[in-house]
Amino acid sequence: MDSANKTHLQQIIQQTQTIVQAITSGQPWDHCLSPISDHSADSDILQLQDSLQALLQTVVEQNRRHLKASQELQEAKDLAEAGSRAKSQFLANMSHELRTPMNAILGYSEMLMEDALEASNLSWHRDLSRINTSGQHLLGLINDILDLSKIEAGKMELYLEQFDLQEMIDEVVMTIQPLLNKQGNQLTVHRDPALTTVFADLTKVRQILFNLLSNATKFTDRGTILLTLEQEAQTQSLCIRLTDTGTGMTPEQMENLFEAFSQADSTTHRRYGGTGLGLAITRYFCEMMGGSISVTSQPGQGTTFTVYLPSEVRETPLPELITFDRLALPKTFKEGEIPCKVLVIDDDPTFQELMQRFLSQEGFEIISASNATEAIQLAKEISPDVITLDVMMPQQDGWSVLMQLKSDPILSEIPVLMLTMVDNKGMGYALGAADCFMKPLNRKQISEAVRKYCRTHRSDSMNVPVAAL
Amino acid sequence: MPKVLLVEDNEINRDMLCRRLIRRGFEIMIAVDGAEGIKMAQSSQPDLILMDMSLPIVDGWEATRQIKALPMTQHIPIIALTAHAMSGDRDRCIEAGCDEYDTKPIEFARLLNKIEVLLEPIT
Repeated sequence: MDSANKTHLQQIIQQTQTIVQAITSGQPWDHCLSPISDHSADSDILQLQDSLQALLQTVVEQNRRHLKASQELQEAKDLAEAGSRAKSQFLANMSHELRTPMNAILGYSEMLMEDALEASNLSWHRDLSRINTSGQHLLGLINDILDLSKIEAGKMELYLEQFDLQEMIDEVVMTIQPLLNKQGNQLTVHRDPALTTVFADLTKVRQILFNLLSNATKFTDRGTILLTLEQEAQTQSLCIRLTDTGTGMTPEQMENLFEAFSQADSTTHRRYGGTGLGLAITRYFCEMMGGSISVTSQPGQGTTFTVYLPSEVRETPLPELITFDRLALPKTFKEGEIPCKVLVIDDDPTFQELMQRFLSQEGFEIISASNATEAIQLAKEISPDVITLDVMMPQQDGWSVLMQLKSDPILSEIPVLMLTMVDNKGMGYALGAADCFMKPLNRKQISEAVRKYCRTHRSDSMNVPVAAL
Repeated sequence: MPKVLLVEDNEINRDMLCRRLIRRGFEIMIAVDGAEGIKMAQSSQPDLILMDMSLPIVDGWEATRQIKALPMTQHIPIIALTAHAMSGDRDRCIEAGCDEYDTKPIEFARLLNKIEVLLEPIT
């Protein structure tokens, strides 16, 4: 190769390196290689120059599409959030609008029932009590739908107070008595005398009990229902067990029992009515108070529901969402242990703070970055064990940050967990992510993943005892 | 006969609740908005007030605050009635100075019970 061609080649190499560096560090870069005007240049070199230029054009085009896609996603997200706010407001209004006429229907029918009784007009009394019962049924359905909407909008709250459990049970049993009589069912209540007061959300515990009892009597005909309440000293919890001798369920029927809008099957709905929301709400209330619910059943033999609730409920985060856990304390470290470092890349400061609080309680050391440039620089400085990366960020989105990380020889070894609003695992894996998670995040899942990849990364790269693993 | 002031703007609710309470032997006075409620609390000195919360002119929260701030009416127990039953409603009512809280649709037996408990020191 003559010296002129060698110069051309060196020029191409140098320009390519400059462009790669600029792309990696997120700096603006020149989209064109300087043309070679020398007509005697080697045709292979000219070919190389053309191919590289074509490659650059493709990168530019891809980048442009990417930017457009992420802008569209951001717009879609903004729209969805506005929609969600409108929905919450609509719910608050609807709640008021639906209950006001119910007030009149229930109140006047009760008044007229009193009149009919006084006048000994029993057939009127019977008809009026049908209006009243149907009204109460309708109110129950409205309340269920509103409850579920509140749960879905994340607006369900706990009101914790000390209350007399025995008193509440008496009250629920009294309310359910007409339903029991109607189905010819016998209810027995076994109470642990040690159980007196509990600290929980009274309305929600009452609703749990009421839902389970009305469910049991709905599916039991001239049978017995046994309600047992026990204090479990060891776990500091209250155990509510409800056993009926009703129709029971097959394993298939039990599968989606606690999901919203599911009933055993459509014939169940025709025969027994209801919205299919009661058990979903019951489960959510149990979990909200830090408890649980489970079921065992045999078709034709009956069903047992078991509820565990802490005797002293604390404000805990909702099961599905990441929220700040006020009561958990950060873990402490033994000497010689180095906490796992997690770099959280997210433009939303609220989310950064949530991750900070939540992952530091799990014993991780958290460093946050809110844009690509900061993230790459921090990653180089602190060499984290794991990186969590938000996809939807202004300017440079998560995917391009991921590409930069993976193209850097030092940073490419660090496992990256992608956090996305849309399911796009294929894209994540293709670009080299260790795993992808959908927002809103499941706390347990994400902390387990961070722990797992921390451990893998540590054992790969150094021999240091790892805290919080 | 215990005197109850009912502050409620919805005519149907007012008529129903008022007649049902008269049947149970209460003497009922009526105000149709918050401002009238505050005035009547002073002029007729009821034993108890049933206060709807979404009221015109002066809403139930403000009316309650004013009644609880006046020396001549601050001793009168107030039961808030609200159809919202949304999160935070109960706290907001208690903060405003209400002694009790109940949701609409009214469960009459439950409301009577609450009225009786609050009236106990008087009767």
